[in-house]
Amino acid sequence: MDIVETDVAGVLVLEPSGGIDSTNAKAFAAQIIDKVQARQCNAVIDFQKVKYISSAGFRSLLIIGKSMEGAQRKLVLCGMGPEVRRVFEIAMFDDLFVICSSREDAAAQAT
Amino acid sequence: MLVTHQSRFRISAAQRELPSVTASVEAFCTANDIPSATSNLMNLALDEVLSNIVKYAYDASNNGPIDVELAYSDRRFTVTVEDAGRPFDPLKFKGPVNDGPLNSRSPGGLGILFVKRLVDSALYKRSGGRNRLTLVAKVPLPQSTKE
Repeated sequence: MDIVETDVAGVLVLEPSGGIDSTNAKAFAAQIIDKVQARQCNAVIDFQKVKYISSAGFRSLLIIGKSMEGAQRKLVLCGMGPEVRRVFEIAMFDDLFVICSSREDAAAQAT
Repeated sequence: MLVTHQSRFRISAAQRELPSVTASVEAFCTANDIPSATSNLMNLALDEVLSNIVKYAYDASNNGPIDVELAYSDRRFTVTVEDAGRPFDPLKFKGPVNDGPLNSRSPGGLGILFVKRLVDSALYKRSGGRNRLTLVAKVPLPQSTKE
């Protein structure tokens, strides 16, 4: 899975694209955790280019969230379109993570 | 006369086959002017349904067939999935969906919750030794671009 990395004021912004599903969810989690460990910093996942996220992707988000929490690092999500946001609400994950609209707000929250 | 556009294909119940279904749904939606929001929600629902069949429908040694049919008619996008595996009604399955803190969360049960909440109707039928699940998403009328 292609995940674009950007540094925004010392916060690692990660931008996956396409669908996050049973085919790529494990790679998604492994790549995000590797990138955060390599950089040793707080992170933002920008969902702007994510078309959909299935339960396999939510399982990965739990793994990523626990890993970040264990390392005492902040994780903030942003950039969700209305359909992706709705799935977070159905899953009741919208109160499990800090979710911002813009990447800038998310990076500020993760600082 | 009502025109129905259809596409049918068969895959084997293996994880590696699922990306081809995602691509087929996207191509079918593009060809029929079905908006990406509908295509995406159907691909999400299909990932839940198909990954379940891959894991549980057949014995481990047997990647049995899965038949998928896509149909579009009267602003209804209908996807039918059939397998010849063990009887299983995914719509009856209830998982431990919870709203506790991160450490106590389990993603079990989320998949079927998504299927039920995202599509406009879901119907399961067991007949002739086959599981058949029919998912329907209504396609909204396009927004008029005229004033």
